[in-house]
Amino acid sequence: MADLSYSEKVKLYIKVAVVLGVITVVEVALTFLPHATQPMKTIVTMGIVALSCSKAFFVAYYYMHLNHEKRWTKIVAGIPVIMLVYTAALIADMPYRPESAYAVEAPRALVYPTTSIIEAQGGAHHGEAHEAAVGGPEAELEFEEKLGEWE
Amino acid sequence: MSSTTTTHPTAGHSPDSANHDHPDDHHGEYAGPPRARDPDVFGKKASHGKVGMWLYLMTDAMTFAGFLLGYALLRVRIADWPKPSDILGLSLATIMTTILIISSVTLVIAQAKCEIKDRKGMIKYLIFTIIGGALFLGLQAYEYNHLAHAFHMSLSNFGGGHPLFASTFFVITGFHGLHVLCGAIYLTVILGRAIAGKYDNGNSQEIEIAGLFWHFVDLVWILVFTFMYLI
Repeated sequence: MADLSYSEKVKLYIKVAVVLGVITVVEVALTFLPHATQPMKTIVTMGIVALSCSKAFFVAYYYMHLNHEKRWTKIVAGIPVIMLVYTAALIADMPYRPESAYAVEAPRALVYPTTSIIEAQGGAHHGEAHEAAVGGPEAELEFEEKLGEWE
Repeated sequence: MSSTTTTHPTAGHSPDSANHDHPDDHHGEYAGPPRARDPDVFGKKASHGKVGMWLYLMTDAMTFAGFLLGYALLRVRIADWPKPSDILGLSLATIMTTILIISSVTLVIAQAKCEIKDRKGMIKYLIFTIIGGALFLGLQAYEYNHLAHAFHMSLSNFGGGHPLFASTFFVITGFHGLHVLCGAIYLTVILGRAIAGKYDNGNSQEIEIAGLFWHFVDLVWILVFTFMYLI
């Protein structure tokens, strides 16, 4: 920083911002690519994660002035990267997991009183359904009976 | 801070200050935080404030990483997880990302303005940065309001799939939004000190430390945007 003049610094900052903007545009464009099939899906996901990690690195390196810090400060700043790598690895692993093996059913009391169901029933009984959902186990039974009636 | 220039002759530009490892020790009084222009500090040693901020940011990064990990695990295990871009407004989130990046740029420019003792420019760019933060919060409030009405999203309810989609979304983006709010308040305090003339001597340490926090919030949003909106 000390070695750069004011105008050089501002030029560098704006250059980095333009790079960040371009990467963001590329990322958003990637999500619009048709990638329903398996190998493509993983490649696109990994690409987006890699691009955003590079963005995070640019922010830390240039805006947080890590480029002017001593090595130990860089090491301190780099420690959380372990967690980010782990997260990225888990997300990359997602497509390879059989969905049925890991499927978790949503708790009914939380899912059923939402609008998608209630609107399907003509929008009626909104209040009732909600009370039933939050009114404890007895009310829940009642609610299930009502659901049966509707069906 | 404005009095330090007169009361502590060793701090700053005096020619012999470079010859002492700890110039303050010889006077028996605390000379205030190390100054950015001090050759002993600048580019060599990080000040206490900077080290403290980095350590705090490290723990905060761990918190966010834990949140994102939890999000990933839940998402992998739940079959009817909706595609985020079907529910969340991608264009709005992209605008929010751009606003945060631009506010980061204005803040580093404010710091650079401080170092060339351009008082007016520094204050102007600090104000731009705070406006950026406020805009981000406003857009987030709009987004929450829209999601609550269009998809009946709340912390425990969601009309378009598994309710944990809504829970994780509000917990993670809400936690980040609180960081933006704290950062905006922090920068407002810094702006007040700048207007009071505390940084007119070209010492940008405090702006830089506040900047560390602000850029970190920007950095986290880049990752949140990727993991919660794009993927």
